[in-house]
Amino acid sequence: MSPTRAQIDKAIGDISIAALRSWLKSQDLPSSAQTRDEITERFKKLLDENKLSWETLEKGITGIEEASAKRITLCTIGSEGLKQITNPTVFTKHLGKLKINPSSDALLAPRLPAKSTFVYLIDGPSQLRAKWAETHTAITIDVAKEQLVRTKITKIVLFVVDKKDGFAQLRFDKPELIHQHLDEKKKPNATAYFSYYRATAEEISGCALNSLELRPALRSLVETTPRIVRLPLNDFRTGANSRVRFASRTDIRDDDDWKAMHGKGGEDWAHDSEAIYWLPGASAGKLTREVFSDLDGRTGKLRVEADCHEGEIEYAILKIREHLSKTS
Amino acid sequence: MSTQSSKFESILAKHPKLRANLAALASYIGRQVEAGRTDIVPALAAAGLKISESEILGLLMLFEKQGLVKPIYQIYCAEKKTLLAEVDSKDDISEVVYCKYCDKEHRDPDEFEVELVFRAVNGVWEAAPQNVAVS
Repeated sequence: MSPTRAQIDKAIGDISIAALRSWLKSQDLPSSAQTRDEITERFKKLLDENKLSWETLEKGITGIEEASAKRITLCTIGSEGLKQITNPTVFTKHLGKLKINPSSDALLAPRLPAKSTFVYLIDGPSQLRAKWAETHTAITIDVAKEQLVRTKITKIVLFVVDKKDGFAQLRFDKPELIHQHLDEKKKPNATAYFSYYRATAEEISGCALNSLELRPALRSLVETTPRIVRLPLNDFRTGANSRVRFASRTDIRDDDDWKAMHGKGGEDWAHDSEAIYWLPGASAGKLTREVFSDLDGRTGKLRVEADCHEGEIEYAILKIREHLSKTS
Repeated sequence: MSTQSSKFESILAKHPKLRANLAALASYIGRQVEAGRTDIVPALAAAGLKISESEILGLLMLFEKQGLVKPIYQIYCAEKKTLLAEVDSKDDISEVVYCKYCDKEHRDPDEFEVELVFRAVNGVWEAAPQNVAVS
């Protein structure tokens, strides 16, 4: 029997429509639905007509919740920590102490859990991967009714470690105004949310996470030729500490004034953030479209859009890693 | 011997392995002060000296211990990228910052940015040598 609308609604929960449409497109399925009702109806029809299986849909939703609209902190674990997570005897014992049973597959997170909930950990040959879910409350104002509107949203946090070299990612959903991570004044605090999962990831891996400086990679991405990114927006500071924002409809590096400025003092600039599009033409077939990401050298975070999928995130991170190693 | 150079020599004596980078940073600060810029921004020093920002921070903290620089927290409007206020301690950062450029009070932490800079202490660096001996 094919799933009901209510079951489909529950499975897709509060996942963004852009992400669901992008996933449908990647599966060569019709993706024109514009509203939540329309997209639920679309899934219902595809499932009823056996053009899509429930297992495929679940896998797709799992992939979306792990890649869509994430703020990604890039970091590394040291060589001692790497030895621990790559030694099966030591690491299995460590997980046992934490009462964690590794899973063989990625699992879909529960919708709107009452508190921070561990979803799964996969201890694979090349990658360690763990996921958590929790519920936040977004507040918006209904101006017509002069009311605050509270909406509960499931938030996903994913921790990924490359076992080859200890390169790690912590992928966060954007925090909303109300959640369980409080500051010393008992108020919800975004930094407390990020810190909680960083500490949890350190506990689960048994390794300290070392932050990475993204600024050298930002500089390298600007200066690499032939270009691998389109750069419409760049925030930087001149050597004299003036803050500058260059924005272009295409690429700031084609602007004669930017070129003149860069030629004069570009060596001394500190790149604070860049909004970039990864170019498919420079991706050796790994990208099928221009993929947006925002890199912040101040927070060391990479942000991707709601319609971004795992392969696109992996490509962006691979390139950032290449540019970091070029400059270190 | 000036105060600056005796304090600097004291850092070098305690950290001989950092001599080259300490000397490069001291020269950088001297040049900045000479150009009228007394706020040393770790990210800019890192870019100018091709040294990692974390290492620059560590070196600046050694200078701070000797009283050559002092930490300042600068609060910028995230939207207008303009300096709004500065305080000596993180604890003094107000939850609400009025921004005259936006004509509003910024309450959301995303609406302002806090940056740690190190201010060259008055009168200490003016006579600083531009090329500090490395060996």
